[in-house]
Amino acid sequence: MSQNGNYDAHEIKADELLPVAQQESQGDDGNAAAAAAVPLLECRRLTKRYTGGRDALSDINLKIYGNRIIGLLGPNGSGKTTFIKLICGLLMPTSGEVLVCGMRPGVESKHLVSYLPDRIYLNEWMRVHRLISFFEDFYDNFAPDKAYSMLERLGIDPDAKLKNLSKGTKEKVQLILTMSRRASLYLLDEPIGGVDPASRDFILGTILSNYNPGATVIISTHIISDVERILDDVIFLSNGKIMLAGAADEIREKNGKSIDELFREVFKC
Amino acid sequence: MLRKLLKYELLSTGRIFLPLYLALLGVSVILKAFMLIEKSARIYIVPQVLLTVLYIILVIASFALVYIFSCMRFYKNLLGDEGYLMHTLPVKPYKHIFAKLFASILWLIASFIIAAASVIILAYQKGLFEYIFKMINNLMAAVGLSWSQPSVVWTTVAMVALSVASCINGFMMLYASMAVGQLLRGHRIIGSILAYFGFYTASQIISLVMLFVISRTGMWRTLEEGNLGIIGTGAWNPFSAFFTIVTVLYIVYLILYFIITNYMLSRKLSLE
Repeated sequence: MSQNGNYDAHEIKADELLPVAQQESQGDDGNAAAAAAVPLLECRRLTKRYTGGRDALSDINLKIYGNRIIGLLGPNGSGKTTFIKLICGLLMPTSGEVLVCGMRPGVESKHLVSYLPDRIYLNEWMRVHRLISFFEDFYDNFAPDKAYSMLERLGIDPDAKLKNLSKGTKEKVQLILTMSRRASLYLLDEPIGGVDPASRDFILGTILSNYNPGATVIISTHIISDVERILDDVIFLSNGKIMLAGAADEIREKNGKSIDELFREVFKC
Repeated sequence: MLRKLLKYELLSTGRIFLPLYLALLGVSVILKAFMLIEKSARIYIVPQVLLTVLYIILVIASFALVYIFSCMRFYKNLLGDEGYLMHTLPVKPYKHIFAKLFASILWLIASFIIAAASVIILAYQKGLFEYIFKMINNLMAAVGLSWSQPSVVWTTVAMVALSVASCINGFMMLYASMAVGQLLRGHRIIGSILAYFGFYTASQIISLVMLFVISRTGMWRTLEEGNLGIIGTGAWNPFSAFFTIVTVLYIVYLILYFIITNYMLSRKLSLE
């Protein structure tokens, strides 16, 4: 996996303390090829303002390419969920735009994006197997056999009614559904937020062993210690702005500390 | 995709309506049995009254629930947490609207059929249908009408079209209200209710203006005289003309509501 060229965060206003990684300038041949290709995800001056409130996201410029695992890190209320919902078309930008493979969120982009929201979206009346056929009906890149084998490994009964499952089990069902799609971009909003530390490793393992090769995974979280080891890149969001973005290794090297330590320092209350 | 959406819509709502219809038909059969067994025995009066009350409640419920579920499904499934799943499906927003609308119309038709069936169960005697047809024909003959006049058929078609358009308009107005109401983040239900009253007032004002215009024509005088015999005079008689105008008005409304709903879901979606 190339460290260069897959990630590009130009136009981001650099924070004085934490310079934004400007990987564009390090260009090699691979970088030139990647820069010419349509980015998997591109944000151009993306801004979202809720009525009567401050900017939830302001002036985000970002290009993300394939084959990366990216941590979207920031404290509560920093705009992580808003950012992901804009990519999914569940919210509309106030100004600027977000493009998935060059397309605004729509039917085509929804084929490419597999999304795990930060909440339970399940129809309570369904049984697990019915939900699997629901996904099979609507997504042509959904692999039901993969979903069933993950259910079996987790000991979840496909005949169980969703309303009888615990919150943690429902979250696992949603993760299984999300990861059983062969998508180009996985957007995982707080996948480990609500589960115990023992389950976190399992969930991260599930993500790592099931995502479509060549795809990019964006994991939003504020629990960094558990995910740090799997991240290729990180994006620090603070008050709706990108504070820092770049390759995890380089950031560690430059600052002489782990991403977790850096996060605690930057977002110290 | 629309067929698949409709399938899940019917699966979800069918869990409520199918048992309700079974209960309604079951109560009618039991009530009918009581009527047949013994008409005078006092011991049967209490259960018969209770069953009658239950029957009435079920008939009302089978219609009211169509509207209640139509609202609930649209709100919960498209604008609530379930919307996180529905709006990330690779489906155009208008198909979501059609799926919800078609399901509601289907259940409304089903409720009509089941309610009619239950009345037939309760009232059936030998020769019932012949009696009803004879009565309708006698009534029509009394005002000088018969089915052989094309104008009578046309007026009937216009009346049926009016009822269908008004039902669809009712659902679409609810959807448009909720689609607009979701913009008021944090107070979405209040927003929906306000939007509903807004649409209601606007449509009432337009309808009143239309009525005022119609009242200036000779058509209105004929309608006021209430002489049904005029229906027989031609396809474009004051009655059929009136029904047609109101139907067209409803169709214009429901298309506007559809455009508003579709715009809100595709350009202004704002899930909380």
